[in-house]
Amino acid sequence: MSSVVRHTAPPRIGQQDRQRYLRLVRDQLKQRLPHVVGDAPILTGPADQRVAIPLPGGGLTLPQLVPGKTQERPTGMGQGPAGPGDVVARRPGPISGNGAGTGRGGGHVDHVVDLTIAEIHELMREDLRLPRLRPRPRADADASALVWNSRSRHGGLSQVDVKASLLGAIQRAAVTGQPPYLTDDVLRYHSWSERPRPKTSAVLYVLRDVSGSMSREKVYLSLAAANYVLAHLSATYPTMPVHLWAHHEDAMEVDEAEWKHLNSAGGTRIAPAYDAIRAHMDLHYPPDGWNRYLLHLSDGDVEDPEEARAALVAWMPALALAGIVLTQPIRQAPHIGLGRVMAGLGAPVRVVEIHTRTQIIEAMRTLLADDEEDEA
Amino acid sequence: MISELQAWLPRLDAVIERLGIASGPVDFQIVDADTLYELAAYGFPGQLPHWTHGRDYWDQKRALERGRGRLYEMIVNTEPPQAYLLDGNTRAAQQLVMAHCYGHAYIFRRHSAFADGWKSTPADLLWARERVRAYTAEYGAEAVEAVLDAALPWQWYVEEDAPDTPAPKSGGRLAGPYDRLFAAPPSRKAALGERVPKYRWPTRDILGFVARHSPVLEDWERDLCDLVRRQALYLRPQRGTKMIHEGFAAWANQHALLDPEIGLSDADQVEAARIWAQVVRRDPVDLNPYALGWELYEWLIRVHGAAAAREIWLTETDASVIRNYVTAETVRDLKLYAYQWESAPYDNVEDARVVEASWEAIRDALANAVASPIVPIELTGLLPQGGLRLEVRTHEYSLDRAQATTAVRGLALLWGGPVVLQQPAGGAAIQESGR
Repeated sequence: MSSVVRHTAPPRIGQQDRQRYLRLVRDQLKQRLPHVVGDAPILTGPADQRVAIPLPGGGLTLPQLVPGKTQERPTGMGQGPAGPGDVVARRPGPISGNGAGTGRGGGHVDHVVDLTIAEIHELMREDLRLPRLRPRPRADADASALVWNSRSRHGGLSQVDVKASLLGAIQRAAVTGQPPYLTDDVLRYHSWSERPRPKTSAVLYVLRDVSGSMSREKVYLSLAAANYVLAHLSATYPTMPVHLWAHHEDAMEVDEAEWKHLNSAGGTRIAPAYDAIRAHMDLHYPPDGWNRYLLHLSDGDVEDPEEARAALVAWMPALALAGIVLTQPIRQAPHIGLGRVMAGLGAPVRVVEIHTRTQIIEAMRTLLADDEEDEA
Repeated sequence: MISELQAWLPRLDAVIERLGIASGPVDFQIVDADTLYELAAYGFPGQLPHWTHGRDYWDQKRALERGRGRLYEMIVNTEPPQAYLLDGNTRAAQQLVMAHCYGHAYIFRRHSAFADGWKSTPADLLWARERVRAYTAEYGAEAVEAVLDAALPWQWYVEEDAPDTPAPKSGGRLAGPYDRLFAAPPSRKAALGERVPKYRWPTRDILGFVARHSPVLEDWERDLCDLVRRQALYLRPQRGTKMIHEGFAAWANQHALLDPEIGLSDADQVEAARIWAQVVRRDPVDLNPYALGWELYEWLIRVHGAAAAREIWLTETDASVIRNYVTAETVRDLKLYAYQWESAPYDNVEDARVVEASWEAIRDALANAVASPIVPIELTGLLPQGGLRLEVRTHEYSLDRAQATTAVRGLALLWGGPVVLQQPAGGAAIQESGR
């Protein structure tokens, strides 16, 4: 017998194992979701952009009987022209503060999964288990939708309504006794009518406190909260514009990379930031045409709580939701809690506090719960 | 392209014959990318279904999509060996890969590690998938997965069946190969309940022992454990000879394509040389078994002569060939070094810095790095309450405790009682109750 070369298509056997693995990944990811705040532009990036998410703790490996890690620095073997002291490779340093996962097997190898931003939002929504946001019809719903439900005597050839035109020709033939010619005066064209439609456009402004009091952990909680809010709103408004603002004593609009990492020393004032955003909103997204959402992430350590309250009270009627997320707020005097000042305002203002990472989901549920639930 | 390759095969066969590495026919099968990645994730067509193979599939696919780690072929140790070639390979790549597969086939048929193994994928392993599917239908996917998850961490702790007779008692006759024929009939005392262990203690066949003697496993669960065990026995020789395999196959395809009679066009020669150079590229921080194996084999030929090098290569494993034959000169000639990751003083990065090390230290680290050695653990006996006592048989290190604890917990569940894993190297014993 000699060797042969041939085309084959062996039976595919792995479908079930692949699906099972993907289900496990999903379960793992849900545990990890509050921490998906890395450097990828998850808030403003396009929905189909792929993001790599590490699953720490190696939840997707079986445990292995291997030597334990020693205190010594990790070593390895390599091959090539290099002598003692030479640097042969470089890699990013260890990332701290991401929390350790626990999971299946208890292995320790990081596992990276690729997801699109839309998929991440979908998972976050599943995680929140909230009713889907309904578009709010507004009283002044003057936007109109075109519906092709009418006929006209004028139009282009591509819009000829064949059935109506033939019917007209036959009717005329019956009356006149002539053959049913399709002349210009019997041709009918598809046409449209306008129908009022509730407005459902929405815009999200996320305002983050970047003052000196915002510690690394507070920033982390803020970013996680922003992700959840966006995931929830994007289900109803897939193309919703998102504006990222940062404030300490002044306020400014920034891009996502800067927004995540910005940190400044100094005091914190909110009223100027509210005024600036309100002016920006009124210019670009007038209240009669837009559902305007504001998410304010702060630790509540501010100099002007009363002014901020006044600014928000004046602004409230033009907002669909003003969510104030207080991350690890300080409760001691002389810090007057922003939460206490804002709490009594009622809809559409909602205030939640997040102290630890495990509270993120519950706080988001409170913040984003359905209106009816809220009223009931 | 198939007819071209088929027409070219006799030339390749002749060249392989001249190189002295002809071992018999190979069944070359050209398959699409998805099939090849699936086969690579499973290792061989009859592999047990488990989600880890699904993971491996996605990992490889993602690596391919990112332009890393292209897979040109995969070969299975059957008789004749089945070589799966990617249908997207260029003609030159297919020719290179076919010569490469002849190298693998030679190792499969001539290396001592494979001499006692199965020469084809046994029918019962091929049936394993069907049995697992039937168990899944009857008992549920979760139950099947729970058994496999518990058994798979112990898959390399298996041995071929040991003789049933217990070790001869001291003071008796000298133990000889024919003693079993003349063994005294079992005494009445033994028949009345003195338990004669089927296994000689200690045994490395931990999974086999649990599969046969666990008081809690159902028959189908025993069968699953036994399937894992037999599969590991089939795959074990390949685990210890990765560098031997790839180094020899790289050497074979290099010399086959250098032969003037091989009949490749100039353009194909250049393309094949380009691919080959990529395959045997030295890696500064992660040993490339193709490069290391090929260079080490060439070095052995230079130093010991072709015949001796071939003999060494066909009897040693990855770890033993390094421990027995790597010298200071090898370390120098192959430019091997050890490095350490250390944090650089800026930008939150880590640098791999080459460290000063003796050639012996490099040799030993190399042997460990290529062989991914199995931590020696043995089943040394039963505990008074019917639990299992395992011992780590090395003083060099203790186990990664978190992982070992999870693995021991799985084993205790299979055993249905306590399992204790003793660690001599200063590590505390790991104990799980099995409830």
